[in-house]
Amino acid sequence: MAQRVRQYTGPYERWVFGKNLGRPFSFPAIRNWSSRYFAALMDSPVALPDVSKVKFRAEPGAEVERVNVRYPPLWNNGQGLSVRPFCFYDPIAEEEPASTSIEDWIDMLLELFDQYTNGLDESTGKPRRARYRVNFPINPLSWTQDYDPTRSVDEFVPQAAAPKAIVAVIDDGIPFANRTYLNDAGKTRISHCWLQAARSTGPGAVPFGRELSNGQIDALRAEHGRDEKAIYYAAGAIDADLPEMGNYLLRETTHGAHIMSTAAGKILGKAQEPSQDDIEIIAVQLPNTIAWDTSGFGKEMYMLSALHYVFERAKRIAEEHGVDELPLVVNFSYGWSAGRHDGQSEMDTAIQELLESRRALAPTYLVMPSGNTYLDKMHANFQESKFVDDEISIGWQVQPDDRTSSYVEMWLPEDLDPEGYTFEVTPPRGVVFDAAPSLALRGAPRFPRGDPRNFVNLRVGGAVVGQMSVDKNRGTRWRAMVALAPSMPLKMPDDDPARWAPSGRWTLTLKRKPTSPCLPEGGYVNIWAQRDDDPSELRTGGRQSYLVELDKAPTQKPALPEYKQPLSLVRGFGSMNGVANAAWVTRVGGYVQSTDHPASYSSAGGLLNTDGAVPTTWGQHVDMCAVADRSPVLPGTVAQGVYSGARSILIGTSGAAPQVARSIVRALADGVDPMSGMTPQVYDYDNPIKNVQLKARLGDYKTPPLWAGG
Amino acid sequence: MARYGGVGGVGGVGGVGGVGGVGGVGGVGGVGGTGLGDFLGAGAVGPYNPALTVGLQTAAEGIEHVAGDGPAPVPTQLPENSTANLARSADWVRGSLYLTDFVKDVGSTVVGSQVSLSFEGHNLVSINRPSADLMAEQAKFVREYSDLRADRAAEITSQLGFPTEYFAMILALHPAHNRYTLELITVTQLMCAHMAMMAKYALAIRRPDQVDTRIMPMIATPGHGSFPSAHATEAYGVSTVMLGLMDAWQSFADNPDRRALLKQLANRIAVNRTVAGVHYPMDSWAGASLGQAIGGAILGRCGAAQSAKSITYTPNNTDFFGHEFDALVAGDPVSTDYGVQIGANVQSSQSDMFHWLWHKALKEAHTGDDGAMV
Repeated sequence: MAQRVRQYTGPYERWVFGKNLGRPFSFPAIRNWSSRYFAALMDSPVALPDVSKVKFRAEPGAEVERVNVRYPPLWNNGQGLSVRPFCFYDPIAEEEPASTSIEDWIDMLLELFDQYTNGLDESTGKPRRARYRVNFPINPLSWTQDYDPTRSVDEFVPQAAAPKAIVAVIDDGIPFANRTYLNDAGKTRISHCWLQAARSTGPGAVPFGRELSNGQIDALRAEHGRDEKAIYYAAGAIDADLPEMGNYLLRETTHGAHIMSTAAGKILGKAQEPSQDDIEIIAVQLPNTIAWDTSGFGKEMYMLSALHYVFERAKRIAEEHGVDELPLVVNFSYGWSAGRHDGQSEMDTAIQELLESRRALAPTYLVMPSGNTYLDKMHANFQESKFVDDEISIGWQVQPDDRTSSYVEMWLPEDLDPEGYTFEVTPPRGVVFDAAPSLALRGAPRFPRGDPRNFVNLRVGGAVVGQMSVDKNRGTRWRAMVALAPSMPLKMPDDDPARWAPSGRWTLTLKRKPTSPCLPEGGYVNIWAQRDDDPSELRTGGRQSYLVELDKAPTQKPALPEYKQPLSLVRGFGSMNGVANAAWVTRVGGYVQSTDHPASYSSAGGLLNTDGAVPTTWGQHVDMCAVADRSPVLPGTVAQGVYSGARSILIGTSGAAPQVARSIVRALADGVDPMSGMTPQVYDYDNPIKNVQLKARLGDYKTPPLWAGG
Repeated sequence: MARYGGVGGVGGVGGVGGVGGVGGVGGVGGVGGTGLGDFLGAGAVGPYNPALTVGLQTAAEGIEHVAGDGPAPVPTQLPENSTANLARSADWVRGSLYLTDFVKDVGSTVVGSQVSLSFEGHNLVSINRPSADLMAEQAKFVREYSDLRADRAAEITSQLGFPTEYFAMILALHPAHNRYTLELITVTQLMCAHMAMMAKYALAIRRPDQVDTRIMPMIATPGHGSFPSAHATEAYGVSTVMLGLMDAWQSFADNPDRRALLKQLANRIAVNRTVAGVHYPMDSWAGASLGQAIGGAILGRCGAAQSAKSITYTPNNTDFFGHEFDALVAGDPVSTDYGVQIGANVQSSQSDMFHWLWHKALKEAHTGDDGAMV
């Protein structure tokens, strides 16, 4: 059979789904792909197909339905949005011989899906095919058999009085039975909780997983009393048979327990706080893999569905009380390191559209952490002056013993004409590629649909150890990137011979012809290594790659920050969370409570060197800060663990964001300025560079500590 | 110098004490193991060192003359075969007596692949042997539970022996005022351990790490079979007996909370062994079944009220859930077939030995008075 020309695959999809590329090194859900259920994003300005009426068939007039599509609960029915989550499955796949190529198979399904959008093209006269991103598969046990997004949520009980605001948390390990979420009447304040990866128990208003209403949570509490563990078992929130749920809620604390109690629980150690009974809570628990893996691939659908779900259920709550919309603050302490960082990724676009649409109706905030990679050497920035002989190079250090794929992304300025630009990759010294790879910054004609793009496999001794690619992401911005296999031999499926990439110093080079256009005025090339450390929970065996400035003269590393220009090529400014770049997201950095200094790891927005007195900024920046560490010797914030009364300590800006969410939602419920709980920050040191740097790391407001003492 | 040479032989009295020291069974810590468990050497004086032995003898020689040289007086007799002598005995001696008093009424029969343990001729448990396939399936749970090792490491390593301190934490036990309560706990652990070994021997089930190398336990795998779990047996035995004692004490204002905590603790001790990588969940089901039945038999021996059940357990591939086990024993409905079939009430009659111990423990209620409220 002739090889299909795959129409949907971007560089991550091609590598991760490719059997002979990166799939053997992917997460078990992808590596051992057996599900016929998919989560996906559609990136298209056309109106959403009405899936209740449209059936997709293998060929026009065929008897057999081929693709079954469903949308998660979409706020406002997804109207006016260009990036939307959906999921689909192939009901007759079992009757066909098992496909050995996931890419071919998905591609075929998406082509069928295109039949509908083709129809739209005809009606609008504009051929605008959708772009797709296929995400992690959905466990068949989680697939809701009788899904109706319009059905009412079982046993939901409206509050006697309309809440004044809603706070929502999207995270892992949500301890919805914890007594810290009870109101004065002893009922839960959690109105809706969606466990995205839980076993489906029957008809539901969510497309997969399980939804719990406040009435159901209170009924579980009544039935099982104080035994919260028994509640989680009964609700399917602990389910050892489902890897995406597992025994996570048997732990003393989880990320989600810490975050949600900080945002919405009863307070620790401070006696005076107004009752929070006027604030209802909505929670979404992501699948474990999505929550724990930070490599940035394949989770947007779950994240975006969570956001839509929060918005949609908030609307239902408001309507119960005869209001159109209520003030809403969503905390999403999550992120990854790579990405466009210009607010134009699929997720950024989707988030910005949602925030703009809803803020027109009611105060709406999405609070996210700035990230924890300031010191991790995962970002570099090249300005035009750094081109020498029409080329720039950066070292990419890949560690030995890395059991997961490594990724690095190079992003070119949006308005650059890349004529004559080429991207080259050099392996560590002593390693020779079978063919010296080089890719021009232009799309290959064999990909007439989707983003302009091109790929080359990196081979050593015939084995594919990596992939280099160029793609004009979403048709607007060129990216050159490298995906590498693990740096050690691993057992392969089907007893295939092991393939691994050499560890050591890789070199990425961007070259251009002397006649090629320079970077546009003020333009720059940004590079990020993708997050690849090992969250112990997953035991991925990931080892973090990092960037190295080539031929850098040795310097003394200062113990304290030095506030001077120029910044080195590899820098913490620009390490901003790759998912938090929509303009209206509230980005939160972390400070040390006892010193007021930035937490050492707290990521910051980008700075560019100038010939003037101070650096200038690019991209989105930290808006405000909250405590991330109590002191240099008492790391982390204190919050509540999974079980009522258990304590949790978490280090990172993840713990800072929900303090901001708590402060804003309190102010909104009180009907006052949302920033009224915070202190405006003024940076007026003698050294103007210090002022710029501190503002980039701490933002314009500071949230006071939630707990007394140091 | 030569005159001292003769007395050296007295050193032989050191043999009386056996191993151990004067700690008593209430002593905390240490890896008890089974055998006599925490009774081993408890209450014994221990061997004298040679200098003390010689010193005692030279002192005797030097002062003996003032006691005169007439005949020895005729003593009164201690009561024969009487519990009145128990308090005069070293702890380990009582341990031997309890053990024999209990074990003489224990029976064990193996029919096909089922072992049945009985007490006074009445069934306590019948446990069916798991298939090899089921062991492989259950190994998956053991791997999943390894996720909790970081959380539970301190508990697991401090629960290698009998986790008496964990029960003491809930019931506010201290050796100064709970000597016999602690002894009752130790007795219960001992009976549970012995009977678990009988079942393990009969059923002969490989440990998880022999089935699946990826389990890699965080502690040494014990040198006996996996099924049933002796830790689960002991934990559920002790919690059953302590629940009975608390009911008799009626000395805690928060009795319901402490009852709930005891049940949670028994569950947690059992599950910790799965986390550690040395037990399948089915081992906990079997052990819990056996432990609560033994606990009932001990309460019966004490002459106390008990409502333990004879249980037939046929393992299937489920996780272990303590709250579901409690519901089953209480006769409440559960959602899943766990293979636990509840039978008749456990039968057990009072013995002098255990009744004496129970009476002593009753007097240790936290009432502030000398003794229990009942």
